[in-house]
Amino acid sequence: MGLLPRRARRTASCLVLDGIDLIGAPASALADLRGNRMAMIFQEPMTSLNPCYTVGNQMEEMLLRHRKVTRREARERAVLLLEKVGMTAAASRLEQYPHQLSGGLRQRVMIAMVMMCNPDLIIADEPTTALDVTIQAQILLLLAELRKEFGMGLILITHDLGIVARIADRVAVMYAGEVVEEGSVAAVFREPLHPYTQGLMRCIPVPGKVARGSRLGSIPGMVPSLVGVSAGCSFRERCEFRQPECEADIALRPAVAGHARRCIL
Amino acid sequence: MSVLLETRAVERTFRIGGNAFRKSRAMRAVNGVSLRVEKGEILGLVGESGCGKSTLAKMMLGLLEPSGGEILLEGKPLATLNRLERARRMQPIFQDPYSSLNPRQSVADIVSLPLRVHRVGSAAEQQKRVLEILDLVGLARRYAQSYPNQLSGGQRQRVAIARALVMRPELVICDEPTSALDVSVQSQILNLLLDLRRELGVTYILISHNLAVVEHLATRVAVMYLGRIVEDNDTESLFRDARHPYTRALLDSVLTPEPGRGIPDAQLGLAYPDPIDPPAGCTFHPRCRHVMPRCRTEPPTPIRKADGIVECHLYDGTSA
Repeated sequence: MGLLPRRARRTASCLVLDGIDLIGAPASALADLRGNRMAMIFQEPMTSLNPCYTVGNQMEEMLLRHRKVTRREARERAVLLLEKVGMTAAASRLEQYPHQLSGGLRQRVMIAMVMMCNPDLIIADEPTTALDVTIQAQILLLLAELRKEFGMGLILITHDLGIVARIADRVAVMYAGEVVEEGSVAAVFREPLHPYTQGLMRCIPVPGKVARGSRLGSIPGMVPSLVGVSAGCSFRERCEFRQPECEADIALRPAVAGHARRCIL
Repeated sequence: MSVLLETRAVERTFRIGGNAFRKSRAMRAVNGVSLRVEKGEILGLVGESGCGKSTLAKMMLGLLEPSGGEILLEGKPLATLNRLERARRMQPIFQDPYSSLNPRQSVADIVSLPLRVHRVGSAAEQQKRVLEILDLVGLARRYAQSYPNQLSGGQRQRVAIARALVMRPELVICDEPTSALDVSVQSQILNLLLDLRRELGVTYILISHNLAVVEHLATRVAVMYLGRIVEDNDTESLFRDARHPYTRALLDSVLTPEPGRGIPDAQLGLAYPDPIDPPAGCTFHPRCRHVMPRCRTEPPTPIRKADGIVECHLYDGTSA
């Protein structure tokens, strides 16, 4: 999204959105893409919505910034999308301020807002972590349906393996700044290859599979400091299968077609 | 087993929204809760945000006065015990170890404060007990002189647990103890809570909205909705055979890590009702799949079954 502070340096051999190079793009070109071709949903809808503007104002702004539309047309689309995300009395919601809405409704507003320009890609960063389980299921169902209906790509960032299993097609497991495993959800959950992924799967109580009150698995140690440069596998300090070869950098390589891991095993 | 803590028809009302032009209105956060916590059990308390779980926990700890009903600790009304005695026998562990620890005190200071307050032993003995409890919660002794900002989230939660347990309380009330932690750290803290129960025989009340965690840890579960307990049963029966439609909807919403199952639709609808102006009759009826005419007018009363209690018109015999 190009939202990192100026001091951060991005390096990538390739960062392309539908043929548009995002690394070399000037700030103005990125600003034209953000909210338009790609949009982001954040974890806490209270802090990511502006408390000083009405819901309608913030939603219309997306369209007015990126498209040649009148305020009236923008308003019509906002009402349409609020109805689409399942909000009752959509037209009157536009006059409300974020603090007048519940957490679930705020997150629905966020979702409706990022849909305003019909983006190709939505990045959702922990979209349901701040919500109750019942609301979480509703919001995820909504995201899945919208994705199908509008044919957009969805990158969902979460630490909840249950969400990944239920909504995603593919999964990339990250550890200390690197993707350590990548594959279809079915393959990764059936047979996790990287020791870190295996550890994560043992950490969660699964009803019916883990005996109640029994000890859960855990991953010893802590996430390494990312300050400074270090060579080799970043997980090796916590890994039970550590080998001398782990001191050298390891590439992400496929085990079978479509399922890769960054591990010598 | 004997009853450690009992609440009898406990209520708590808050007055809110009053100003010069408008009369304040009453919000019943907790509305007649009767619960028994047996010695040695882990009682899970689940429900959506705003249903009164934390208000109930605060009343149990004596941090908030009930507006009605009474709370008994081993048969004695909580109101007759003084603050020190309550604090010695009951301790809380809060959700966010970033805000529940004083950033300007070292770990040793934080953990030893209860000992100082209760004037237990000499300074040397206090230090010995601090180090013992740090060993017990799995925090290396070298952290005793560290400050909270030098610790990770999991380590901070261990400090909070050490502080809660240093006086060897009988009851520990854990309010979302792992919600702020990563999954790999969550499992360590849950293991620790189970180990400590085995070693010290503490009783826990576990407040959580993570049903997988509750099912794993709790021996009995009480489900709360809009200030009332709508179902109360031992964990196995409740998860196998939930009776109340709300409990079933909650269980249906759990996302277990099983690919291909899709996202469940619990059909609860949108609205969590306004607690200031709760629906008439059964407070759950606007969201209920099995709503009957009488649910709209007549509030259900608790029905005692062989195992557990349920509060729903589906089970009171006259309509079933």
